[in-house]
Order: sequence, then structure tokens, then C-alpha cells
Amino acid sequence: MKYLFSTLFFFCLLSNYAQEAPFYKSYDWEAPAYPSNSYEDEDVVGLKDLIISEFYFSSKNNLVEYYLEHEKLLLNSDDQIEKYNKVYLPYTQRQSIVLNKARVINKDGSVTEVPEDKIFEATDEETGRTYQYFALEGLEKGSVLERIYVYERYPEYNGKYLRLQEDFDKYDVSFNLIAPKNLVFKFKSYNGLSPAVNLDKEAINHWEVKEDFIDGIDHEAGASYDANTQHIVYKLYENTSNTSVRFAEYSTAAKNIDKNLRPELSRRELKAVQEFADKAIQGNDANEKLRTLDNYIKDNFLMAKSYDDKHEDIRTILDSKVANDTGLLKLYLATLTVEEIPHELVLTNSRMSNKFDPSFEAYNFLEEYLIYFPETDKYTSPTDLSSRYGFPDGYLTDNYGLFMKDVKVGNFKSTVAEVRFIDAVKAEETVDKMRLDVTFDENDLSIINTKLDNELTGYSAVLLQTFYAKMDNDARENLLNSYASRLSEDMEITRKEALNGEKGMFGKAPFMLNYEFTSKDFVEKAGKKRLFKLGKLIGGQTELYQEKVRKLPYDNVNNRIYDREIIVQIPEGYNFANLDDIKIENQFKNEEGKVVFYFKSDYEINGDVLTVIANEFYDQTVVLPENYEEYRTVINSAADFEKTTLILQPN
Amino acid sequence: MISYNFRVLIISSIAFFYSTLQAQLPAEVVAMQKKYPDEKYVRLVEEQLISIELSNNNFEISYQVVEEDMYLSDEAHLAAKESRTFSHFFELDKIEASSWYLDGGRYRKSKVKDFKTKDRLDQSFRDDSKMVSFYYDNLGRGSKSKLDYTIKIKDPRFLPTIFFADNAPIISKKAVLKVDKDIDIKLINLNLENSNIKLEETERGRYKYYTWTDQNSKGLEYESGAPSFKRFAPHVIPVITKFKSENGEWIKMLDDVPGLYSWYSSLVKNINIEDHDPELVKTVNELIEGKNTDLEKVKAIYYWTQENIKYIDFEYALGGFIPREANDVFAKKYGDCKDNSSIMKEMLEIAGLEGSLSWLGTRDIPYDYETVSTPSVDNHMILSYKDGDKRYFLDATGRYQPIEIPTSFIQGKQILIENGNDDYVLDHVPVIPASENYRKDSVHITYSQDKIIGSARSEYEGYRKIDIFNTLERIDKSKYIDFLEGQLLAGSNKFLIDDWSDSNLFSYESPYFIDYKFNVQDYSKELGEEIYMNLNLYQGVLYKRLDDDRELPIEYNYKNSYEVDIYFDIPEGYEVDYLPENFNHSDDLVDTEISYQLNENQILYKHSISLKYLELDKNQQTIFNSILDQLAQNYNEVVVLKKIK
Repeated sequence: MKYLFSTLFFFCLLSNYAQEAPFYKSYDWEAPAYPSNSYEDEDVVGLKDLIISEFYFSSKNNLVEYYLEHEKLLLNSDDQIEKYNKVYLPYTQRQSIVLNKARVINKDGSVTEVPEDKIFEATDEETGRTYQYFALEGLEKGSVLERIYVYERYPEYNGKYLRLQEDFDKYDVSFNLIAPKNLVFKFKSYNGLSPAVNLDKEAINHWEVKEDFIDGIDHEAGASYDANTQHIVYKLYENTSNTSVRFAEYSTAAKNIDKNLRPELSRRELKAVQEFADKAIQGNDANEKLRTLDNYIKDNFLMAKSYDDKHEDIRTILDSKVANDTGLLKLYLATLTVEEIPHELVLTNSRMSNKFDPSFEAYNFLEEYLIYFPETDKYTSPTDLSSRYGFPDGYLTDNYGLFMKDVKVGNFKSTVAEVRFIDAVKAEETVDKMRLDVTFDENDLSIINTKLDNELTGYSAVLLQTFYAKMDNDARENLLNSYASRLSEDMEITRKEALNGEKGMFGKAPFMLNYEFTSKDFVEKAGKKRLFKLGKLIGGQTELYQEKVRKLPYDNVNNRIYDREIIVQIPEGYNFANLDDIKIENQFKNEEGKVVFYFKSDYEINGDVLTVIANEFYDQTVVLPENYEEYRTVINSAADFEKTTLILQPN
Repeated sequence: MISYNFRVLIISSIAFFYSTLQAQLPAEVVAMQKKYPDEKYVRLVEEQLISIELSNNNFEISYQVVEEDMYLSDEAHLAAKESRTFSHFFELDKIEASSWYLDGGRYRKSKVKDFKTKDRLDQSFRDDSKMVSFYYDNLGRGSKSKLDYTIKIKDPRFLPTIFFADNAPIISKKAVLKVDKDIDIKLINLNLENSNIKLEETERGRYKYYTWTDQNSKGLEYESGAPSFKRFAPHVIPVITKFKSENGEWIKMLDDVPGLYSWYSSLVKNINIEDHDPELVKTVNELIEGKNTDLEKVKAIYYWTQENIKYIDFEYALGGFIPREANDVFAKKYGDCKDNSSIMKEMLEIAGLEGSLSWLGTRDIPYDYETVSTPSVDNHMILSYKDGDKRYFLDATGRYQPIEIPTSFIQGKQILIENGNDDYVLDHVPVIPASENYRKDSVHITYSQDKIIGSARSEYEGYRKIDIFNTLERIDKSKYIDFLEGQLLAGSNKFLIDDWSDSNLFSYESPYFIDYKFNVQDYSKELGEEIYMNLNLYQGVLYKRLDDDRELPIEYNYKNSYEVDIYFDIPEGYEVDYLPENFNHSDDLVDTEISYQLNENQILYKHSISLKYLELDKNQQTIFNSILDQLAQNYNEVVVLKKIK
């Protein structure tokens, strides 16, 4: 992502260059005072959270940002003390810490400030990151932790996301942005946060978001916390001294990205990429080509978490088989270009963090890459080695994104960028199929002999199938055993096999895990009768609980289908007494009346053969809080089915 | 006929494919693949050279390591990142690395140019460990890598251990210890019994040379929960026992337990000589006020320390061995194991009592002090306190740890305890029996339309109580119920708690009680005139089943037991038609029992299980699994009730 910020802008303040010292220099904490309310019912309370981001000309052409946070927390539990007693503040080459201090104020009025010589530094040359860290002294239950830190950094004006809501109550919260009069910022507040107000000061621009109180909101299971809690997004909009330049525009981003990710290749580089493409790409139709290329790229490189130039250089990558994410993306794009495969680079953000907002143009929404292939209408996550072509990171789909396409007009090449919707992959492409053939042991009805075939595709297969290919025999054996033991800890597996587990098979054929087993764990003895735990054959099912009213949407990562069939040979001289217990059906329709979630289990009897189906269908990723109960009912139907027990009785 | 030809064709094409594939690889790679078909890599060469020189009473110790690996898998590129950790006492002097990759059947060398250093933050809060990492170029099947580094060892008490086994097979192992003749060396041999390791001792000039060689050692398997590899791997710990000083006098180093103890005691003798902080004195006096016995006072101090001194560890240089001043720990309210021991010792002194600093290794160090009298034997410090004849082991790094129960990770370990001036005693930390670490449930249930409704009390004691407290402490109060529903689950995951209360939460000395009302939907079955009720509501032990393929022993944190009494009210108008048989089993590892008893309108179901082991070896694992098989069968027994006609 660093390429988005690599172009320098000149802000050139035409008038009024006679600034006062930056604000933080005159800012300090007040004389220590213990709060009058000790909030004993709460483990942690935010007493103050003040953020000031000041854009400041340190010289005529040099704009810097001072980012100050002043935070006061009341800690009332051992757990919270242990969470906050070690403080780490990271910085990189683009920023420095100009102030970092903390103190502890106790009930008895004592105050302990962290001495400067107890603030340590740790560096990591590989990531280029340094930490200042220290331990807070004198913390006890009821202590107030107060800290102020200030970064001086390369100004972050192209788009910033800032969450002000936490999982604890916060009082006295404010965000301030101070800038020279000629720099105009735009703001958008989300999920009920007050809008930013320009305080209309004469010499400077000062915007403020102020809340006396923000209530704590729980991290609910499956909730996209960052997207759905109170936060603000802001960016520099214009420089009134030079109105011809607009900032953080997607058209500019597209140009920069294109320049950096698709550099002009030398002839030697082109040759190397062509050789690579010849090795990697197989087949004739577009899907086959893209699938083989994607598999090859993801199977043959080690991803380095480093910002070393050599891990971004195409020829070095091809020689060393080590790349960082930028390097791998460059190689991917170069290969597509050399092969003349139509594609668009897409930038978006995860639904689980700072979800792409199509109505506010800012670079903070451009965090994650996808590649879109118009010929096949499919995507890939190019640098996510655990994903594969056609099945990109699900949290990036069902979401907006910035699509960038190279257009050639004669010899002139340019990049066109537009915001479009990234459809989630349909449920039909991710199927988890189970087929079971069950017979009861002739001599002992408490034993069942079962043939179990599983067939997985799409998101249900991608991790298992691609990792299986790389596993050694022990790991494969473990995987096969543990996949079967979802049904029972107590089974004797007499045959097991995995099919289509070789490298490159994902997307070409389903991953199959087939077994034969016997078990005593599915039949209970009730005197002369037997209770057959039919539902247990589909394995443990999640039961979703909700004690409190759901507040945040539930975000599924991807759509999916479960398709199960159980064929039971009824023992001679016996019948099942309560077959209608099998029938369960629940569904949920979206606003357009289309069924998007359902569970259905049913049965048929043909002679002495009982055939049972238990199918689930989920074709909408985001579940709004008002629909959560219905979603829960569908999910829990599978858990209900799992409890289905049939009474086997003599005729 | 056709099918026969077809088969031949397939077989020959596979063979052809195989041979072309192999043709690209040098013969030595093919040979290794054949010999080690399941290994991802083998270590072709491993050499260690430890050189100990003495001049002007100063030691100069250098330690060189050479490792050459050959990769046998297509996934070799995933091994490209390598790193080694160094520290204050083990300072990196020089490092070189290179890879050899195959190009048209020939090896080409690529030298590693970039080594990146990082201060490790994942070991302790602040220490001196540094990690140097780098990437090998172009690793593939048949590639090799070579790493050569030299370390300066800055304290003669920390000589490196020589291991004769690693994760992968070692084809050729050589270790050389070169020692000045004025230094006396002791070699502690561990697990060498069944190995073919050869040791040759020679002398040349001023030096004595010990040279070990070994070939084709097997790679050590990793299995989760297994004891430390030091229990199995053959290794030698060299120790400097004494050296001849400039004036010809022999000076003792780490000869034996007294030698190790005298060094340890020299590191602690200068702490806590300043006056006690008056605030600390005040705190102690408040804590012991009204306490009638010495033990009551010690408990008050021990529990206060557990609660108020948070665990933050500083392990910088010798700071990893020297406790900090009690006054300082008191002011900061944090510390590590040594700091906790230091402050508790001083607090006891203020109370007029005597505690003793004590060194020991946690359970992952398989040595005792007599065998290994070097700093490798321990990694932990606690405070011992003797009340009459009974010794207590105070480890304030734990939480909710009653004085009777040591932290679980030091159970059974040998301990070195200071005992007045320059004297020590050795003792053992006790292992707490299963009967003291229990959960006991008393449950009353009724049945109504496929649903059971219950009220219950669960009681926790010992390590089981400590575990649950440690979890509850970290859970937001609003999420207690979710946790309890998982913890107390009965019947199925439709178990829901309707109402609950608890007593003695976070109490050190009393059992923890949870009283609750619950229901489980769709649990039992009703059909016609019969109700089927499986009273085996608690089958959690079945999840402890161990993998049949497992080879290594498995370790557990503690022994423990479970007991439940279920009082089931027979619904009105029904009588018992079938009551399952009772079951019991008892041996050295496990005691378990299931019984059914009919009392008028109630069935009393009792189930107990006591897991009396800290470790199970391969054979015991098989026995344990067979006990679970029997339990599983008995768990499938269902009570049948019938309508009274």
C-alpha cells in the first residue's frame, strides 16, 4: 500500500506563513486528580480520550502532522490491569515519537510517573519497525492510567479511519483536526457519531467531533466491529491556495498504482516472465489458464514479511522463490500482461474492518488487492496464499471496490478507475456434500457399519485441498482421521482415502474424503429397544445462542451449501417408530422474497431402505440485527437435526 | 487381453515418468530420498566446536556451529527463512550462510547477503535476546543450505549443550571441545545409553580435545503434549569444574551442588540490605493484624503478593538471575518469579518469620541437581516456608494458588532451598493427588415433553478451581453465562442455564460453588407409553481419547477427579421398565464407577472418574483408551420408563 502515498504534493502556503508553535507544545495534562465517581461496577472506564491531529508547516514547503492522544482509563479489575500495564508504541521510518509519557494516579492520591530511563526501545530491521515500550509502575485496582503520546509523522491526509467506540464506556471523547487555513478537510461520521464541526477560527481551520459519552459495545460473535461501531473517516479535500489540485482522488491513486505495480519491464525481465508463464499456465480455456497460473504462483513462493527491495524485484523473485506481497502482485500482473489475459486490478477493504464506502472517496478504503477477470467474471486474492482463483478472501467480496483497467488508445496507455460492486461467490459453488450408507451389524444391533463419502468444493475445499497437497504422510493421516472424528471420538476406521489431493487439483475436481467405519457410538440400548442417533451422523453442529438483543450485523465470510444424504438399511424384523421427528424445515427470505437461508431435512422409505436428506443453504453473507433471530433459527435447525434419535423396535 | 496390455502400458509409463523425474537430481539426492522417504530435509553435516582458552584468569570461549542441510521436498522454498537467537551471554561474532541450488543437474552457490536483526519481544517483557534472520535463495528439491556462525560465550558457567539428535536425521555429526589444560572439565552424559556416539580424547600442546562423532541419527518426532525432547535426545552437557589461576591455585567453578549453590547465593547476598520501605512495613502489619498463627500470617502475605504484584519479567543479562529489591517491587507492583520471592521473603521478615529463596526447574526441565549442577537445571525461583515439619512452596507467579498447593508446573520437581549462611537443602515439591483437584456435581432433574429441567450445584477445588478462577477473571461479567454454559454443559449443546448464582468466587481456601437451574431441549425421547432417558449427562472424559498412532508419552498439568450424583424424579404415572447395569473399573491410572439405584419415585445415578496420572506412556495410553471404550459403551445405556397400567 505504500505506493498510494509515494507521490509528494507541494502545499505551498501562499500567504500567512507565520505560524505559531505546534499545538502539542503547549498541551499538557492537568494536575493529577482522582475522579469523584469510581464506577465500581465496570472493569474499565474511559475517563477521557482526546485526539488532536495537527497539520503543520514546519517550514514553508514542509507539511508534517503531529498526532496527539491523551487518554485516561480507570482500571477496576486484575484482568484490565494486566491488559494495560505494559505499553507498546510502535513507529516506523516515516514517523517519530516526540512525546511519550504516562502516569498512574491511585485512590490515595499517590502519583507514579514512568521515568524516562525506563522507556525502552526494541527494533526489528526486517519490518523496519521500532517499539518504545514501558511497564506502568504502581498499578492497582482502582488506579487511573493517564498517558499522552505525540507522533510527528509524514502527514496522513489521503484518508484516515478512526474508531472512537470501544467495548467499554467512554466519557469526554473528542477528535480534533487542526490545519492551516488553506487546507480544507472533509469528514464523514458513521453509526451515530456526531458530525465534525468547523469551529470557525480566524487563523486556522479547526474541526471537532465531540461526545460527552460513548457507550461500550460488545464484540459480538461474527460481528464486523470496526465497520459498525462509531467512527470517523476524513481526508484532505483541497488546498484553497491552489484549487487545481484535488486530494485523495481515485483517479490519482490508479495512476500511481499502475506506475508502481506495472513498471516497464526490460527485455531480460520480459523473457524471464514469459518463461515463468510458460511453466505456470496450462490448458486452453480461460478458466483453466487462470486456475493453473493461480495455483502455480501460490504454491511456489515463500511470502516474506519484509520491505526489502529485492523481494519486490521480479527477476530476483523468480530466482530466489521468495517475495513479499508487492513483489508477488507485480509478478502476477506482469504474467497476465505478457500473456495478454484481460484483467482489472481491484482495491478494496475487508468488510470486517473499515468497509468500503462508495460515497466517500478516500484511500483508507484501498487496503486489499483483488484481480478481476472479465472473461470469466471471477476474482482472485493474488497475495493470499491460502485462497485460490475464483474464491478470493470472502470478506473482500459482497462489498464495493475500486476497479482499475488499463486502456490503450493508439500508443497512449492510461488507467481508468471506477467504483463497482464485488459480488460474493454464489452458494452453489461451495458445496459440502456427505453421503452415508449405514447398516446395522447382524449380530449386534448396537454396532453400525458405515460407508461415508464427503465431497467438498469452493470455500469448503480450498484450505484442506491445497494444504493436503503439501502435507507429509503423517499430517495427511492426521487430517483424514480428524475429519472423520467430527462424527464420533469412538469409531474404528477400516478404510480411508483422500481423492484429488494432489497439487493443482483445487478447482479442477472436488476434494473427496471417503471412509468405511464401524462404531458403537451411534446406538443406545434401552432394554430390548435400540435408540439410533441418526442426527449424530452429520457431525457436531453449532448452536447459536443470543442472550441479549443483537446489536451488530453478523458477517459470514462466504456463501455455502451443505448437502447430506443418509441411506439406512433397516434391520430385518425391525422398524423405526418415530420417523416424522426427522422432518424439520426453516427458511428466511430477503426483501425481494427470495429464499436466502434454509434448512430442510426429510425422509423416504422404500421397502427396508430409509433415505434421509438434511440440506442447508446460505446465500447472503451479511445478516442484519433485525434478521438475526431468523438466521439463528435456520442455523440451529441443523443443531436440532443433530439431536434426532430414532427408536428401533421389533415389528 | 486388452486390459492386460493396458496395464503394462500404464505401469511402464509410470516407471518412465519416475526415472525422468529422478534424472534431474544428483545421485546423492536420490539416495537420500530413498533412505528417508518421509523426511522433508536431512542434516548432512552438523559440527560444533567449543574452544575454551584461559589467560590471566580470564576465559575466552568461542563456539562455532556449522550446519549443512539437504532438502528432499518440493516445498523446500517454505524453509527459506532461517533465524538464530543470541543474547548477552551468547554474543554473535560472525555468521555466514549460503544455499546451493540445482541448475541443470549441477549445484550453484548463492551467498546470503542480508542478515536482519530484531530485538525479541516475545520471550519476556524485556531481555537481551536478539534474533538474526535471513532468507536462503532458490530452495527446491535437492537444494542444500549451509550455515556457519560463531558465538562468543561471555560467562564460563554457560557452556552450550551438545545434542546428538534434531528434528531431522543427522547424517554426520561431529562435536569438538577444545580446552586449555589448566581447566578441569566434567561431561554430563544424558540418554547416551542406546547410541553409537564415539568419544575420542586427545592432547595437543596446551590443549585437551574431546571429539564426539555420530552417524545417521534418527529425526525426533514432535507430538503435542509430549515431554521435553531433553528426555529422549542423547546429549552431553560440558561443565567447567575448576581452573588453575595465575598463581597456580585451583579455583572451583560448578563442581557439584554446593558449587552451584555458592554461585547462586553470591548473586542474592547483596539484595535487600537497605531498610524496609515504611509503606511496605505498614502493608505487612495491616495484613497480619489479628492473625493468630504464623501460617495465617504467611498466607496473608502470600495471597496479597499473588494479587498485587503483576507478572512482568525483566531478564536482562545477569538480571535474569538476581532478584530485585523488595522495596522496588513494592513500589512498582510488578515483578517476575525472583522479584516475587524477594518481596515475600522481606515481608515475612517484617512479620518476624523466615522464608527461603528456592531455585528449581519447571516440569519441562528433566534434570535433577545432583546430575546437572549447572544453570541448565533450573529456570524458576519461589519462596519456601517451613511451618514446623511441613514445608510450603510459595510461587506468587500463580493466581488463586492456596498455600497447600504448589503451582501445577513445578509438581514433583526437585528444589534447592537456601538454609542459613552458605548452606542449602534439597527437597521435592509434592504432586497433588487427583482427589484434591475435583469437580463435584449434585443434580436434580425432572422430565417434561422431550426436555429435561434441572437444578444443580457444582463444586470446584484444587487445580480445577484455580483454572476456572483464572478464566473467570479474564471474562467480562456479561459473558459469564456463556462461559458457564460451556463449562457446565450437560446432555447436549441445547443445554441452557436459566438462572445461576455462585459463592466463594476467587476464594483461596474455600471450594467454589455454582448453583444453577437449567434445561436441555430435545434430550430424551417419549414414544407411546415409554420414556427413554439417558442419565449419562456428562461424557466429557471421552474427548480425552488419545491417538492410537501416538508414540511419545503425554504430559498433563495435574491429576484430577470428577463426581456427579443425579437425582431423577420419575414422572407421575410411570414406573421403571429397564435400569442399566452398574459399572466400575479401578487400576493404577483410573478409578471410575457408574451406578443406578431406584429409591421410590426417584432414580439416583452416580458417576465418578478419577484420573490419577501426570503422564501416560505409550502402553498406558492404550490401557486408558480401552477404559474409555468401556465407559463409552456404558454411556449408551438408557433408562426406560413405562406408563403404569
